[in-house]
Amino acid sequence: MNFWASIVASQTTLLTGLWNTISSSLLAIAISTVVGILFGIILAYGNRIVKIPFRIYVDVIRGIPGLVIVFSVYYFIDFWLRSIGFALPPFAAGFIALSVNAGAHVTENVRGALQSIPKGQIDAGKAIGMRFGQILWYILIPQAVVRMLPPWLNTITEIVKGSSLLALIGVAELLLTTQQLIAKYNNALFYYAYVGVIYLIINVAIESVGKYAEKKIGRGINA
Amino acid sequence: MAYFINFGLIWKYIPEFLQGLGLGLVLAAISLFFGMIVGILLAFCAISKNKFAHRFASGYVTVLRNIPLLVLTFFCYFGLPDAGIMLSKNASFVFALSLYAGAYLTEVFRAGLKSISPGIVEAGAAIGLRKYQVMLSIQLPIMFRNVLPSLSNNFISLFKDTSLASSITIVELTYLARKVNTITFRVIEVWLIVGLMYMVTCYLIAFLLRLIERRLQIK
Amino acid sequence: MSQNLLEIRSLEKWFGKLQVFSDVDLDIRQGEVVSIIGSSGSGKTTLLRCINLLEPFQKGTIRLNGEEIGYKEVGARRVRLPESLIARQRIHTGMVFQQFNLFPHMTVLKNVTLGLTKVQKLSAADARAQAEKWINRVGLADKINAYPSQLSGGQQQRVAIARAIAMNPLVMLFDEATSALDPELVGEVLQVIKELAQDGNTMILVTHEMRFAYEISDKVIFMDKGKVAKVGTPKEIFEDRDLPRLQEFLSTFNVDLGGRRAEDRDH
Repeated sequence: MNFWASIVASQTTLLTGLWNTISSSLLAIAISTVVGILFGIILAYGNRIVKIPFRIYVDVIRGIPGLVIVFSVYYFIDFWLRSIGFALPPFAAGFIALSVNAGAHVTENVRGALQSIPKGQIDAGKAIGMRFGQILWYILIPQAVVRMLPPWLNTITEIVKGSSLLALIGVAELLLTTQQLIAKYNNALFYYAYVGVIYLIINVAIESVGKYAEKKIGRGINA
Repeated sequence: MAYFINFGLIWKYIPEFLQGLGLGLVLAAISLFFGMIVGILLAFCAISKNKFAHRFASGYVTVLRNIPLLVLTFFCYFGLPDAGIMLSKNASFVFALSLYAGAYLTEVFRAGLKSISPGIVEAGAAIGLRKYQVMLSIQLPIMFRNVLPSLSNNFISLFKDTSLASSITIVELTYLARKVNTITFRVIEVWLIVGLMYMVTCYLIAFLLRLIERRLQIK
Repeated sequence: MSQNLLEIRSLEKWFGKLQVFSDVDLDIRQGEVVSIIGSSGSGKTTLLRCINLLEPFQKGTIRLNGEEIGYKEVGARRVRLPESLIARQRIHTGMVFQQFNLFPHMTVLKNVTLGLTKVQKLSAADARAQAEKWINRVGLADKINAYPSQLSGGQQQRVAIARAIAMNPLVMLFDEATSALDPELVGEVLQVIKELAQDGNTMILVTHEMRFAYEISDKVIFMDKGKVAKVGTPKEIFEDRDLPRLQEFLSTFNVDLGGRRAEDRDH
């Protein structure tokens, strides 16, 4: 069977793989963004002692390869679940590991974005009688979002790329399904190129949506 | 089944771990070297007025930055032999990582070149230097000092990326971690120690490179 | 005896080990316009920020409309009020900053309505009406939907003034409101401030515009090295003959200006 015929024949398998790549990435994007915003706010405005555990989380994660985080999370959770009599679906370990990893990066992005906002903005919010929560919500976060959008998009691309690591713990995402197809049909050269192009398309699509969003929400700030 | 943390069982693997870590550093260093060559060449393409060169550079960067390194690694190790290119494990990984690093370093060098004020280049031309002479004797040295911090960060990233070499059974630290994990079942200890080794190494490299940067900085 | 709107008693402020000012006493009546002058580092801006509770202070009291703000005594201890209460007390003071500090992601209208809707809980329609009134007053009706980055510095500062006064504060604080402006834009901002003064608003201005301070103020305060060195009418301050530090300070601003104007008026 030639390459294109085999691709057509394996349509459903590939689509399942694509779905697992996209869903694990989406979950990781959602979780890491929520975690990152929360932790980033704490690192930017929290008191010195409260900050310590969050600082440690960020610095530890940034010093460890993503793959090691994937294996660690997978084996730790799996080990713990086994001891109470459950089996761990690799998919769950996978998106959790991606979230743990990306969460540290989003945290740094959010912290950096918040701290780059001039202090006068907080003063101005206070001066019209706003409470800190209101200042955060109406003044700081909208401005931080504009500043953190480019690095956040970067992180999303890293998450999508990172989801390929989940193949190594047995998540049937794009790369693993590709490997299964190669085992069946051979032709590794074309298959890996093909799957590479799929990743490329996903990420370029994310990038162009991001560029559009940057323009849309940047009004007043990116003059 | 009770599990007691016991680092003693892991202790004897430490020398092996250190060897694996060393291999990772070597792979990263070689890839950085080749990646820099790719990066410099493409950076000059990127800033050149030649449309084709410019497009080629930006196309390369877009493609390589948006494909997972693991896919690239498999492509080079399992795919290229289909095209008649047979490389050893180590060589194919270095090849993949160099191509990958090249994309990131192109961006680094391009920014470095752009930060050189055009007046300096013109001054070089004014004293009669040829284009390649301006490149070699003016642009490159200034650029290198500009980009040193980014180079350090890239080296650390590359070192972390070498953990992917385990996927094609190169015996570096992550590979050893999985192996010892399987042999001993000391899950917690193995991954804690290996994570710690990576972390300490990364921060140590960062610290050392910062010292070097400070020495080389233009006062 | 008219009651003081603002009463400051033996105020003292430290940044760590550095004393910014001490023994500051100040009384301001309803409708008074007070200018604070002095060389940089004399503590004027910090004093203004303390009045708006943007800075903590270590000693003394500030009473606004008879009520102590910012701190309370618990037994023998003096404690700063929780931020939520302080936020409520700040509603009564409006502040205009040297760097404008407009919210860059909001239009002129939104800048002014934000406090009205979120703090004063006005309805959107009421807030809009109130905001439009003040934006018209500062002469920017045609810029109501512009973003701050599309405005000149002078226009931005006028929006900032509208934002502060729209909250209907008891006292307006101006912190070097024209210092960050290009010289040709200073006039339009001073004009707005002057009109607000003529309307009977109570205002405190930290300023380097000596001529303006002379013309507009009921009272001028000269701060020097963290103390209130002299309080008086503009005339008393600008024609001072007793205080070398004050004469020295005024001389850097072309000392004749105040004096000559005073004589002009006498004739």
